[in-house]
Amino acid sequence: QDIVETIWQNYVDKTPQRVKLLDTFMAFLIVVGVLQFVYCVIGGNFPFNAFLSGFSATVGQFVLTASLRMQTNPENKADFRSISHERAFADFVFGSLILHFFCVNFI
Amino acid sequence: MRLPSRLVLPLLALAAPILAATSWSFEDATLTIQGKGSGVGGGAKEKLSSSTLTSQPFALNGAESLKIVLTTTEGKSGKRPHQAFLTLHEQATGLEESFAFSVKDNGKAKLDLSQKDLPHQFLTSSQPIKASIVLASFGSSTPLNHHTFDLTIGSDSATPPSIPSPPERYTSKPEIHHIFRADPRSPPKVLSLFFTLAVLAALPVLLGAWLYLGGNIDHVGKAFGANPLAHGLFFGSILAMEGVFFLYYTTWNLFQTLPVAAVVGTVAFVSGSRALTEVQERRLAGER
Repeated sequence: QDIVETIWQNYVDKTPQRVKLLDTFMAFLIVVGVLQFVYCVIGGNFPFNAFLSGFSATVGQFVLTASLRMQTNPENKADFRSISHERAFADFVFGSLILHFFCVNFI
Repeated sequence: MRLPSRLVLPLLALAAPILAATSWSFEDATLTIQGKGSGVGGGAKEKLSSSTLTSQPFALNGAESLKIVLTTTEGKSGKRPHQAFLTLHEQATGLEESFAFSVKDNGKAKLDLSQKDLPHQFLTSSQPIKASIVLASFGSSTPLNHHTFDLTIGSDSATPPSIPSPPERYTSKPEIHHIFRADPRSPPKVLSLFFTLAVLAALPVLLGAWLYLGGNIDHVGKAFGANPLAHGLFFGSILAMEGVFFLYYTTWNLFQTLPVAAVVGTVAFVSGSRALTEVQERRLAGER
């Protein structure tokens, strides 16, 4: 119990604010994904492609956000020296738009 | 040797009776009906004749076997014909079945029959079955087809006659009324509504969490101050792209969507690079 508390406190104190913004977005995506999955389990998976596209939208967005978080985290600066934060954000936006296009196409 | 033509016809006339005289026949024919397990020589022997019909029909019941032994002769000498059959002819349906004798070169022939060799139609016939001995061969001897005896088939009381299933005839079969699986249906609207509201409710929660963390809203004023066109176009083009996707989902087809998407994408790219350059300047200056 104490370990969890310590980890949480460490997280709240040490992580920069922008990273926390991304973390809340990722939590939101997880919640939406779980909701979609539970709905699919309860209500049946007709039409299946609608469930797939919605679920993969949340999962794909989560992955993109994770990569953005990795690239903009100040602790990882050594690994991503050549990619500026803005470049990472631009890649994030680009990837998100493509993901949205494919999901809208599939739904 | 050249025969004078005047002599050929008389010679042939002399030869004809000799040639036409021989005919196939059989002699020393005995018929035995043996019960099962009674051993050799157990059943009653009956004599068969090549010229007359036996007075009473013989009975073949159940698991009994019928055995015929005879000697085939051509003229006076025992010889092996090319064909030697016992033909059973059922009078009601006209069905015939022939069973070949096994003949040795000196003309001695024998045949074993039991109920299992007979076609099943014989087993259920009501009239006696005519049995003929048929002998034929090459050459000019007259063949023999002699109705020798009659046979009645009795059914074994222990085993009822098994009639084999009727043969497969290829005709149209009865119509198949297929009951198709019901179409899948959407879940009840209440359920869908509940989950949709749950997902939509998560959105304000997210925005609230962002605000709680201090979502850098105050940077908006500075950003727009520095380069309003770039930021405005960038943000606007992202919204426009999502709008394009919405139109693609509702009304447009792919070929209407792609050019518009290309235009909006180019705007987003150009303005985005400008806007993000501005952001980068601010970041490097330590203001973010």
